[in-house]
Amino acid sequence: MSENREREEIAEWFRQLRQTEERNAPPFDEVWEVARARATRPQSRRLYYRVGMAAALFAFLAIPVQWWQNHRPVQIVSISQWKSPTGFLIETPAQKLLKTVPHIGDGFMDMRALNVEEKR
Amino acid sequence: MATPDLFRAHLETNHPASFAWALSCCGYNHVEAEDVLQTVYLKVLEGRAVYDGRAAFRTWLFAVIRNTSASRRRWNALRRLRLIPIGEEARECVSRSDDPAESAHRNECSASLRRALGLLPRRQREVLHLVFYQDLTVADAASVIGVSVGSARTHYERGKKRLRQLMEEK
Repeated sequence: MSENREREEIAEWFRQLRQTEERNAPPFDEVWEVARARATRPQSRRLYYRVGMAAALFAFLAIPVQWWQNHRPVQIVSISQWKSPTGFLIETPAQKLLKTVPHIGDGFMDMRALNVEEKR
Repeated sequence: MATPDLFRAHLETNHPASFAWALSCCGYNHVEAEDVLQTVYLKVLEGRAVYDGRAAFRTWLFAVIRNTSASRRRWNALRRLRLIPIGEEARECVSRSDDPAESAHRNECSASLRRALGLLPRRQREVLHLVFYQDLTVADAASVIGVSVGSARTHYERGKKRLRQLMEEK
């Protein structure tokens, strides 16, 4: 079948459909008047609906966040064990060595060994 | 559109075609199509749909109808999930013709075509309707459904082929 004939055949089917549907179309004035009535209806219902939707959206987002904040695991540390997160900045490399008191009789090699061990 | 009266006159002239396009967008559900058209006119009255003259009036109007119908489809999807109470049930589109024999024949042909169109992918159905029913060019149809002309042409060619197959199978 040629392309033109195919096109004409499809166009004919649609022409029949148009004839059927044009009869079924509601009168313009009827549809227009209903739309106008809807347009002049008080806006309160629509406003309530929008406020309600906004509140629901807020609750949907806020409740899980609040719940998480209340239920997240909290590690309780005694004040005596607490360490400042920036405490390492004031530490010197050989701080432990400086804090230990050398014993009489300890040789220089022992002290160096202690130093190496601490560095590890 | 200079005045509201002129605008209204344009809407009135295009009303039958607009209703047919709304029917096509709503899967040939008469009640939904009427409601979509009411909503479109409401958008016009409230200034939510403004014609800026960039496209032909008809192209613009059909695009508004298509968008409104798409919103309604999403709304109906929520209804199906029972999030919104179901209202009035849809009723089938039946001919109001006075001549029963002629009307019956036309209804039968139209029903077959509607069934076949219902089996096509949405884009193909839309392009075929706009070109054959509304006598728009493929480029205008592309503008209404928001796709490129090349894409619309592909939908058009594939749609024609598939529609013929479906009508022969009936």
